[in-house]
Amino acid sequence: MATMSKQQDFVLKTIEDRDVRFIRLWFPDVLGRLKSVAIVPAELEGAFGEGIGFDGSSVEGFSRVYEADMVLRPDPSTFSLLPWRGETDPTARMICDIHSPDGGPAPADPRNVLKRSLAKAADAGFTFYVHPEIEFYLFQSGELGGAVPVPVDTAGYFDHVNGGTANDFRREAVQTLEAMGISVEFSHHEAGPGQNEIDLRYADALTMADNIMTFRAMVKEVAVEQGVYASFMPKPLVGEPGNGMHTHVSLFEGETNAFYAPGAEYQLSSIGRHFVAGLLHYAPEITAVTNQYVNSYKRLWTGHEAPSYICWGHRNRSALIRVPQYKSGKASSARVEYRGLDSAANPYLAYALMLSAGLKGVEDELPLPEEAEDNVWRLTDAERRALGIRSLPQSLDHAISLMEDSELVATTLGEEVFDFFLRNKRQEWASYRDQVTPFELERLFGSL
Amino acid sequence: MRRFLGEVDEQLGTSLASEPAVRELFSSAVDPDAAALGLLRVVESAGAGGEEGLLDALREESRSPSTGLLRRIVTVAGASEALTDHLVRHPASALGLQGEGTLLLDSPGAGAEALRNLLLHAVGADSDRDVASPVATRTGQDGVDALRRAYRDEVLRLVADDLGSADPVQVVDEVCRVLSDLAGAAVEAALAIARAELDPVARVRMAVIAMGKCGARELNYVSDVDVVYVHAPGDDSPDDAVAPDDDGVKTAEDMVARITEIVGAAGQEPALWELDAALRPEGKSGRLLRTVDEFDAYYVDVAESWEFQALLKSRHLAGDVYLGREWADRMRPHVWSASQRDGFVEGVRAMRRRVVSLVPTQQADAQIKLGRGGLRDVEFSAQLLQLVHGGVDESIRVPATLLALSRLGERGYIARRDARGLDDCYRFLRVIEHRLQIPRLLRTAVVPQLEDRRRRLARAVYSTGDRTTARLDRALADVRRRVRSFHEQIFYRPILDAASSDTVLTSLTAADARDRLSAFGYRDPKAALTHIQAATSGVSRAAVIHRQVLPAMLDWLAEGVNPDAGLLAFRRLGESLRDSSWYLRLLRDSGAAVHSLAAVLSASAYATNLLQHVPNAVAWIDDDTALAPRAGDTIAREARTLLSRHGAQALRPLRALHGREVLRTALTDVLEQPGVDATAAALSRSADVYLDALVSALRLSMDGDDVPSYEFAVIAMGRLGGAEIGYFSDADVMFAYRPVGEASAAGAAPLTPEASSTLAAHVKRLALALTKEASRPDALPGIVVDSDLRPEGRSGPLVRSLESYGSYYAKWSEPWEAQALLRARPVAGDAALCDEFVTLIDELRYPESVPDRSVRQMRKLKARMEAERLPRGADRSTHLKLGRGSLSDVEWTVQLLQLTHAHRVPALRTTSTLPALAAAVDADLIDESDAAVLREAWLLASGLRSAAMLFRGRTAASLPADLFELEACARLLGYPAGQSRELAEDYRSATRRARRVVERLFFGFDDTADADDPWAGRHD
Repeated sequence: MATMSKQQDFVLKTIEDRDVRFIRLWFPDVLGRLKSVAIVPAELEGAFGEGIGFDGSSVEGFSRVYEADMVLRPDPSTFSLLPWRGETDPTARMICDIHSPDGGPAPADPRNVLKRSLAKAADAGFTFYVHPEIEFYLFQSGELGGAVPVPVDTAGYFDHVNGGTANDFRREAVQTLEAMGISVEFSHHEAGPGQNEIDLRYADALTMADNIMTFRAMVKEVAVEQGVYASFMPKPLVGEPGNGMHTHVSLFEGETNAFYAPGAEYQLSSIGRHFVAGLLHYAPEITAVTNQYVNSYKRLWTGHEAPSYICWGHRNRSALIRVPQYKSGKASSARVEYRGLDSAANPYLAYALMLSAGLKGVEDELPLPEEAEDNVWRLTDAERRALGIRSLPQSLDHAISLMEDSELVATTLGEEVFDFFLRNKRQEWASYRDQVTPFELERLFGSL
Repeated sequence: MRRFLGEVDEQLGTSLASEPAVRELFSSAVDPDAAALGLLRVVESAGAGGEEGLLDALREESRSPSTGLLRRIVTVAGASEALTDHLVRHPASALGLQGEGTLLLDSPGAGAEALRNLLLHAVGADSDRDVASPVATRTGQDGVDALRRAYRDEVLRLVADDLGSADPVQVVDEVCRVLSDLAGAAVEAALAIARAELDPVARVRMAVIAMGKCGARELNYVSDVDVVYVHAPGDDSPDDAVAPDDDGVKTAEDMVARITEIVGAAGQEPALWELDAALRPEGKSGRLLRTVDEFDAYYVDVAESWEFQALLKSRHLAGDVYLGREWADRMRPHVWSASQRDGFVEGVRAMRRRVVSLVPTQQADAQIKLGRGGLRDVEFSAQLLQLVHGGVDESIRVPATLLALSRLGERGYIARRDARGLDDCYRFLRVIEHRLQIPRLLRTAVVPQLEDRRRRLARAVYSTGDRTTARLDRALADVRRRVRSFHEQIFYRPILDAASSDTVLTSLTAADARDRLSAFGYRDPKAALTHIQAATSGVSRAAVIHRQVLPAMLDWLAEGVNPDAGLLAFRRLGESLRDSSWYLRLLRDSGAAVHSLAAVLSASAYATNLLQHVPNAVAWIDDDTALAPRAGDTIAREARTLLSRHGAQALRPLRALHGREVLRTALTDVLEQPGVDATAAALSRSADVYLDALVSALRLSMDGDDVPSYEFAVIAMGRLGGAEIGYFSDADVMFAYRPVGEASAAGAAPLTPEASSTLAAHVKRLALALTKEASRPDALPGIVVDSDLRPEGRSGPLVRSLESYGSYYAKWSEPWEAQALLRARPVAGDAALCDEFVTLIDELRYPESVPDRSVRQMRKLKARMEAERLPRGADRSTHLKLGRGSLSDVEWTVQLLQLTHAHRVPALRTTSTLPALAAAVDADLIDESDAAVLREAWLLASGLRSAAMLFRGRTAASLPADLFELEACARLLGYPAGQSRELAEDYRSATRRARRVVERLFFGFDDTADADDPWAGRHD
């Protein structure tokens, strides 16, 4: 029996003090959906020591070559009480690493994928910080019964809604997040009716990916408590903006922001410029992961400032990457914003790929293309071509075929996750293709 | 010397030069001239600086040498330029060399507390223990100089004691202890300076933890001092608010940078040594300072095995003593919990082997620290045993090497004699290390090449008697040899004793022995003990020799993947060879061969099995030429000799010949990893000769007068046809014959129908006999002859006449039908028939043109095979033959190129995959980059099949799912230990890339045709 770390002791003590009845062990599947196993406090010590066995074959992406038996190892640093369950039946949660029975990390564990990428960055002396702006919609109900979802309000960007559900909701959500130790930077009403955005305070990528998993679970839970329904679907409403997850990223070398260079254009260092160049270069092939659903491409390709074209800009709201203005003299806040990601992505895999793409740019010293000054949506195809501006894939099918050829994605995700992901997405595309949509019926049924 | 002394006398008004006792003093110095010149320089400097005190003391000395001042100056100046320079800079420091007996060693002034007070005083800090954070009053350059000078004064006194000691080997541990405490005192004083400069109100709570030798209080004169820094955030900053720019942390970091500079930066007063924080969590990329909790979390979750080894020697060195103790109390237990983890010891040992392999070979013998048989070997042996048994036995949890050795001996974990022997060697090596460093106070552990320097080293090591380099060289070589042998035997000798319950020699219990075996990688320690017992009990010569070699053997077996199987095999081998004096001699005398034997036994069930049938082959392991692959001609000549000697009775010796060649190949494969293509070629060569000779032998016994004359041929197909078989491949063949009259004598009468059917029945019997003889059980490994690929498969005749082949092939209309013939290669029988057969099929397999229709047929056939032939439950991404991008994919692609182009490009007319691929590159039929992708996948898949067979002794269809097996394959393919996942990842990635090439080249899928134009957009 290994000695307990102080963190493990702390967890055990808290569970006793707060009379916690259940501990939920959370882990992400390969698509970034939250999986959960509940244990009682008596089992926890064993869980820290040997882990909790489970049958991986029932979880997407875990049942590959190696034995289906997998082991969950709770990470005590992620321990937190679940505030929305109230004091009546206190429940806590911890996020787990997934190990193979031989003790090594499981290749298919998304956390492990991100950890490997972070370790590679650490070998080059870098830490990766991220700061996401997560958009979601609040609807009156999660039961559609064949109808179109109905938003809870009709307000717009930064609107204040008197006595509105959205205000109450955001207050409650922010309090809950803070109670779980997740710092919120900002929250406001977004452009779509019922659409909200909550920005999380920057953290290292692994912590943040954990936070995003918690965030999505928590927002849905608070919504249920308030009698509404929260959706992170990339594009739930025709004609309204989709749910993006713009993410600000930066690299630190020790305590120094490696993106910052005083006096350079936009104070962006050469490392920052290569990083952006890498992200731009590899954007098409990582899109199947950053925008992983059929529905994701409806957000990317229907305007509303969605970043369909691969370019960067300073004030350009349609560019894939924005190099924002930051307060002068605040070196630590130098960062770039990747606007492609949507709220339904698997944050572990997406951040691992963004980091690898950027680092590859740094490693190969890729040159940064010229800044896009114009609104790229207004240009003609020929003009864009002339400027060398490529576009993101237009459909999941297209994204899959670009990813299939990608060494970067294969080596970052590892061969097993890579295989699984492609297989899963091909299936999704095939099922989608099988559909006869209302659009077709409306257009064609009456006339053909 | 006389001249220098004369000048000294002139300066002092003394008559040292004419004093015999004084001359005696000088001539015993390490370097008499340097001693005299040194004294002169000190005296001159004292004179120039008005240091009358020293000059008077020396004059007094010259009259009655009672204080030892002169003697000590001569000793130090004769041995150390660096310390002479110190005395010249600070002549008054020489006054510290007065005294009776020893100056520092065993004196109250040498205690840790006393040294700390001394150096704190030197920088004007309050040394009272109650002052938790002393603050210096001398700061900046002044403080640095004061600290360094005071430190050097003490080193000076210590060196005088050390060199003056009658038996330096006996005091070396105390010298190390003083140096360690002096280092601690120096860091404390440096911290006091840094505090005065950066944190005068002592807000920062920080402690310096010593790791490594300083931690164990066994520091040498000059060494990097390994430390880590722990801090506690002040009360005003709550635990969770440690942002990167928090002031407390920043100040602490600045202080760390400053103390590093105070002790280590170049300056007027020379630097002391480097403070090295590389052992901190996450190494050089990790943060410099961490809280106790952060250290805790790191050691629980992240740290690797070897880091606990460093932790074993840690202690509070300087700074906040409560914090330092809290750190130690919290971290120490991790050592003992970690050391009980599975694979811990293996991890630590693998690390050590890597370190040893990194020492450049030309330095290995001169390096007394890192090289084999050096200091590190002793330290490592002791630490490893502490880690193995310290989890249970707290009495051996001591940081210092010598103390650990003595405790390990007392408690029976190593034989007492070994403990004493290692103690002697360690002390001697440390004395040499010290003598290497004293001259210039530089960090070195390399015995110099220059004769002059070597001479001085010898004189510094030996103060009396024979002081020649010859003696030193002899002693050093002897010590290194002893350390190597201790190091090899130390872990296992007590186990042997425990196995034979020889409690007189040891107190290691059977349970301890099992623990140790299990820690070193034996999975069934109980069975292992039984094997050891069986191999070593009794008084036979074999048992005696086994007792000698097993300690090292057990260790070498444990380097392999399956030591348990290896040990059992070793026991069996010993049983079957117990009376072979050459075997016992080999075990006794040939360490390298025994090491190789251990490697084979613990890595390959296949080779082990063969060895047990041919135990004499163990001798090859000791003979490079015996292991070298043999040319086909050589084997064929031997086969011919056997045939002519034994005639029809040659079957058995031929089988033995083939068995030996396969074993030779397997041994080479395990020991040298020549690559799967070389292995396949060697195996194919032997198989060819074997089949051909079997046919000859069988015909000698079977052909009678009643059988018409005929020619016979065995045509290899598939992998044997391609000369790329593995340890287990069915030999796919077809049989052909023709009556000789038909071809040779024109106009000869054709055979009568009866004669024809007699002949047909005869060749069928011959083919059946060959099939049976080739794989007889005593033919180990034998060849399983499979003729299912013949025309019409199992329903067709087993043997066809050449004519019959001709008419059968004439019915073919599609070139793709000839695909299997691309690999057809006659391997046995009559040359004329073989040639005719090749001529017959060349037209078919190398057609002038291949219509598109035929190519489409081939693609369709392949696509259907992919859907149908993969066994149920097999995984397409791991199946070695039929999987995605594996053997079959690559081979079909190459064969399509051959089928369509070999008519025009004769170089493509080969039955082997890789040569065909190379020819295709030369003919510009395929890009080199695509070919490289195919080659890599093919080699990896073939290599894995071969490695799995070698390890298990049974075939494997897929990439092993079992991690143990995967590890075994990885090692056989030349991966370092512990890289099995890399192998799996490499395989999947190589075959994924190969599949893409196959889809493009074989199936003709066009990458760009169905992908959307990346520039296209919907909006204008």
